[in-house]
Amino acid sequence: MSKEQNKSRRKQRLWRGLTALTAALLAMALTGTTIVDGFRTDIDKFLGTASTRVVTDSTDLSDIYTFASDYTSTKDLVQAIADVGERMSEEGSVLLKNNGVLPLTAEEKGKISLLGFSSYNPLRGGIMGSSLTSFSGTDADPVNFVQALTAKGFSYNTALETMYSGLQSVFQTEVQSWGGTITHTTITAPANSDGSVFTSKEPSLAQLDAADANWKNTLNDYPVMIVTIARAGSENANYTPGQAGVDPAQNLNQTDPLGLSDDERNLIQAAIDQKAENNGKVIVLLNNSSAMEIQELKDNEGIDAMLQIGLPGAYGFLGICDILDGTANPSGHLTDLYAVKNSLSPAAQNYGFLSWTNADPSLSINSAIVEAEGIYTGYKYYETRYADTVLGQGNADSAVGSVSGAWNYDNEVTYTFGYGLSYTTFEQKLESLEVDLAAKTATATVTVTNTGSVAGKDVVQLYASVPYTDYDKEHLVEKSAIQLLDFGKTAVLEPGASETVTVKADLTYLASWDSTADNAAGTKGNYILDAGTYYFTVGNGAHEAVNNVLAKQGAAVEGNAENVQTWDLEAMDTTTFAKTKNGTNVENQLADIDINYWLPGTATYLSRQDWEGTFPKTYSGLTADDRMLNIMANDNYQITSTGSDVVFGAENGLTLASLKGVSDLNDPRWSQLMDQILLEDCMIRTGFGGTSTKAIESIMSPEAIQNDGPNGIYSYPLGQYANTDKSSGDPCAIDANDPNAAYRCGVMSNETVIAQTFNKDLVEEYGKVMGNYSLWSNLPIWWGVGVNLHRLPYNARNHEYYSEDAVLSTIMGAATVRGAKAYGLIAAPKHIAFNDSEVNRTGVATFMTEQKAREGELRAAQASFEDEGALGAMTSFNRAGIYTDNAHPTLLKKIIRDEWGFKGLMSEDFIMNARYVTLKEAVINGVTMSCNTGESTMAAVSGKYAYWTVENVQNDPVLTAALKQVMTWQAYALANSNAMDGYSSSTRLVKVRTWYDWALLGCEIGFAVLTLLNLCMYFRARKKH
Amino acid sequence: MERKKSLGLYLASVTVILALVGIIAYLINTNTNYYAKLGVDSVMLLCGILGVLLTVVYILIGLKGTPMVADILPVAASVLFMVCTMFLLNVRINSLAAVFTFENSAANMADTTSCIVAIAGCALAAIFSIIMSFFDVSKAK
Repeated sequence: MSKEQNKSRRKQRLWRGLTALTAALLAMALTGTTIVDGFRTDIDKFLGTASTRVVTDSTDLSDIYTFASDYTSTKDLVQAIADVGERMSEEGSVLLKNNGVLPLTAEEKGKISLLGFSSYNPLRGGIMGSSLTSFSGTDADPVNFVQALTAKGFSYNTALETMYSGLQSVFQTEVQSWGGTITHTTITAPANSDGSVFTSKEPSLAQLDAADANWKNTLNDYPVMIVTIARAGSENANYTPGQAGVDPAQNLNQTDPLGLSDDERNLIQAAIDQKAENNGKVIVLLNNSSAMEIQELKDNEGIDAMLQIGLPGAYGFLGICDILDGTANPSGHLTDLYAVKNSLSPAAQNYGFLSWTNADPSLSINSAIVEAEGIYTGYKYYETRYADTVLGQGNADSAVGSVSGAWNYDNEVTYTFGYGLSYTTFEQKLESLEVDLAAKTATATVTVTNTGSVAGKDVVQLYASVPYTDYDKEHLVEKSAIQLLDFGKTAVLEPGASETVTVKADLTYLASWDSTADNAAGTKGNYILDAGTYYFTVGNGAHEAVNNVLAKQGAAVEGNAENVQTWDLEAMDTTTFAKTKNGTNVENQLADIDINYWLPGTATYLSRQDWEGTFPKTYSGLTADDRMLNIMANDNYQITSTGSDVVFGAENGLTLASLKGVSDLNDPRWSQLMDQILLEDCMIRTGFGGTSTKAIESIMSPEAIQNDGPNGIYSYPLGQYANTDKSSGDPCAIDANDPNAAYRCGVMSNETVIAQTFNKDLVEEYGKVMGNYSLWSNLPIWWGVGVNLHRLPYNARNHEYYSEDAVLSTIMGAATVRGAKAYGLIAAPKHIAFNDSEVNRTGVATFMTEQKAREGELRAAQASFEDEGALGAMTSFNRAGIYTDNAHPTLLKKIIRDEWGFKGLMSEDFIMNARYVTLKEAVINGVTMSCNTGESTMAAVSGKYAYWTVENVQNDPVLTAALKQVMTWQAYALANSNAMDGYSSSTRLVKVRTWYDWALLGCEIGFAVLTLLNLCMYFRARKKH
Repeated sequence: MERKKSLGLYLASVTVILALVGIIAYLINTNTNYYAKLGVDSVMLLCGILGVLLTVVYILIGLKGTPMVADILPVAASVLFMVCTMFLLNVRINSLAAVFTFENSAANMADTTSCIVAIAGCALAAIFSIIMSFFDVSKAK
C-alpha cells in the first residue's frame, strides 16, 4: 500500500472512530432521555428542579391557601421544633435509679467527667431510618451531648474528650459496601442476616491507659462521672438473641447483644472505684431504644443514678442537661418491660430466620414465624404470669422460661412497663371510675398530690384487669392480668399541690377478640366483655397496678387495694363492640393467619390455663403444602374479561381543587370528577407510585412529595420544595437565601422517647410542628407514625415504634395524626401490619391468632384511622400468614378500610420485586400505589408488570372498579390536605423543560450533528482513497 | 494482498470478551433469587448479542481487507453496546437502590455481584468498541 493510501486509510479510521464515538454518545443521550423520563421525580428531588409549573388565574388567596401556619418566619418555625425536641427529652427520659445524687448542684455542674465513647459519639437517631439529619448554619442546628453541656452552663473534663478522640480507631465501625467504606463513630446494630452478631466497641481499660495513663486521676478534678452505654437502633438490622448474637471473636463475658460486655462493666467499675479517691458520683446514661439487660446495673450500689435517654435527636441533650441539673424534673416512664434475660420470653422462642423446609427464594418464600406467645408479649406476659403465681394457678411457677428454678417475678424482671422515677414523690388516689357502656367509655378521676420537696409532673396510668372466665378457657380467649387502658399527665405541681386528672378511656380497648363468638353479621368472631368483676387502678407501672388489683382480690401482696375501683358486668356482652364506630359489623377476618388453619395441629398457643404445658416451642422446619406454596407464589387473582361499565375519561370540567376540603365522599362531585380520570392514569399511578404521588392531569391532581420518618420530615431540606416566590401570596413563601432552607427535619427523639413522655398534648404538639413544617417546606405526606409493636427487644428497628403496648401506641399515634392533620399534613401510620422483624422481611410468613392480631398490632394503629381519620397509611413488606401483606384478602380491605373507615391513600413499602408487589391483588385490597417508579407510560408500567395492560384490565369489572376506587381515595386524601395549597379550580399544570432536559436535548442535537459530520468526513476520505 | 494483524484485532477481541462477560453475567443475574423476578430484558440482550456478532464479523472481514461494510460494523457495534448498557441500567436501577438500602442483606448483595459485573462488562465493551473503531483489524504488508 502506498504512503498516500496509508494516509487516506488513517483518515478513514479516524473519522470512523469519531463516528462511532459520537453515534454511541447520541445513543446514550437518546436512551438517557427515556431513563430520565422514568425517574424524573427522583431526579428533580435530587437536583432541586421542577418539571411542572402550577399556573393559577385566581387572585383570591383565601381560596388558594387553605391552611395557615402558626409561625411568621422559618426562624420561628425551626426554633419551635427545637423547643419541642428539648421538651420531648425532658419528659421522655426515664429516671430508673437515683440514690439522691440527682439533680446535680450548681457546683457539681462544673465537674463533669464523661466516660464511654458514646458520651462523645452518642446515638441521636437510628443508624438507618429515623436517622439524625445533618445540617448547619440554620437558626436551630443540632446539638450533641458536649455542646448541650456547654450551652447549659456545665463544664466537663476535656482531658477525657481528648483521650477518646484519639481512640476513634478502636470504637469506630467500618461497613464495607459497594462504592466504598462507610465509617460509623457511634455504636451500630448488627447487619440484617441470619446469625448476625453484636461487637462491643467500648475501649478496654488497657486501651484507655495506653491512650492516657493519667485518665483516672483527671476524674478527681471532675468527680461527677457520667458513663454512657449505647445500643443502636436501625432499620434492616437485627440482634440475634442470646450468646449466638455476640461476636464469638470477643471474649468479654457477654451473654446477649443487649447485655453488657466486660469492657462496659469494667469502665463503670473503674468509675465506681474512683469514688474512693474523689468522693464523686457515678451516673449511667442508657442510650438505647431496645430494652437492655441491666439487672446488674440496678443491683450495683456503686451506681448512684441511671437515666434512660433513648435516642434523643438533635435537641434532646439540652433537655437531658435540664434533668441532670434539676431545671426539669424527670417524668418519663418506660414503654417496654426490661427483662433480666430477654431470650427467655415466650416471644423469643420464635424469632429470627426460621426457614421453610421447602423454601423458594425465587418467590420470596423464605421463612415463617409462629407468634405462639399469643397476646403475652412484654409486660402482659410477665405481669400475668406473676399474678397467676400469686394466685397459684396455671402452673405459673414452673421452671419453664425462668432464669433458674421455679419461675419467680423478682428473678425475671428488672424494670416493668410504665416504671419511672422523679426527683419528688407523688400520691395518686383513684377517686372514682364511671363506666358508660353505651358511650363505650370509662372515666377515671384521679387526685395527684406532690408529696415531695420539688416541683414536677406526674403520669396517671390507668390500668384494667378483666375477668378470665371458664368461658374464656373453653373458647381459648386469653386475658392479660393487667392492661393499660389510658393515661394522663399533670401540669407541673409545686410541692404540696394537687391536681385532679380526668382520664376518659375508650372501652373498645378493654374488649377481647373471641373467634368463636357469634356476631351481628351472623357469622363467627366478635369482641366480647366477659361477665364478672372488672378492676381499674392506677400505678407507677404495670407491676404496681397488678399488685393493687391482687390486693383488692385478697392476695397477700404489697398492693394498695384502696386505689382500685370495680365494675361488675352481670352477663357476657357480645353486642356493644359488635359494630365498629362507623357501624360495620365485625367478624373473623384473619383466620388464615393462624398456622393451624393451613397445617392443623401445628402450633400450641400460650395460655394462662397452663403456662408450662403451652409455653411456646420453636417452630422451625415447617413445610408448606402445595396449596400454601401456590398462594405464596403471589399470583392469586386471575384477570377476567367479562366486561366493565366503569366510566373513565369523561369530560365533566372539574378539577381536584374544586373539591378542596370536601370531606364527604358521597358528594356527587366526587364521582363526577373521578369519571374524568383515564384508566391509563389509574394503572400507571398505582403501578408506579414511587416516592412521590405524581400529578394526574385528567383530574388536575398535583404532585405530592412523600417523606420519612418517625423522627420528623427528613427526606428533603426545608428549601428544596419551598416556595421562594414571595410575590405569589403564599404566606409560607421563603426568601431564596433563607439560612433555614438547609434545615432538614429528622431532628426529633426516637419514638420510644416520644411515647415515654406519656404526654398526649406534647405528642400532639409534635404533630403540629410537623404540620407547620410541611406548610413551609411543601412536603405534604409524612410516613411518620410507626405503630408496629416491640414484640421483642431484638428487633433493631424498635426505635421507629413506640412501645410493646398497643394502647399506648395507638394513643400516641393518634395524637400525632391529630396534630399534623390540623395543618393539612397527611401523617401516615406504618407498617400495616405485623412487620415484627427485619429478618427476611420480604417474604417472611407471620402467623398468629386473630385475637393477637386485633388486640396487638391492629389495635396499635386503630385510633389513628378510626378516631382521627388519618389520610395515609403504609403497608408492610412481610406476609400476613401466607399472603403478602398487600394481597391478603381481608386485612386491608375488610379491617382497615371497612371496619375503621379509612378513606385515604395507601402506599406499599419499598418493595421493588414486581411479583412480590402483587399489584392487581393490592389494588383490589385498597392499596393506592406501589413504591416502584418508572416512566409514566403504559409501555413502561406493563414492562414492569406484564399483566398490567389496558387490553387485559379494561374488561375486568373487579379491577376497573378497584382502580377507580383507590384513585378516588388517593384524590380524596390530597383534596383534604395541604397538598392543594396554591391550587384553585382555575389551576393548570404546565410542563416545563428543566436545565437537564435542555442539556439532554443539546447533547442529542450536538451528537447527531457531529455524527453526520463525521460520516461526511469519512465518506470524503473514502472517496479519496 | 498479504495482510498482518493490527491493534484493532486485539481491541475487538477484548471487546467481544467483555461483552460476553457482561451478557453471561446478566443471564446469571436473571437467575439469582433476588433478580429472577425481573425477567430477561430482550432488547438489552438482543443489542448485546448483535453487538458481539457484528464485532466478530468485523474481525473476520477485517482480516481480509477493509471494505466499506467493515467500517460500518464497529460503529454499529459501539451503538449497540451503548444501548445495551443503558437498557441494563434502566432495568436494574430500582433494584440496586433497594439492595443498597432497604433490602440490604448478604444474600441480596451476593446476587448483586453479577449485576454489577454485567453493567461493568457492557459499559467497558462499549468503550473498547469505540476505541476499536479507530483501528483496523489488519493492514496490508
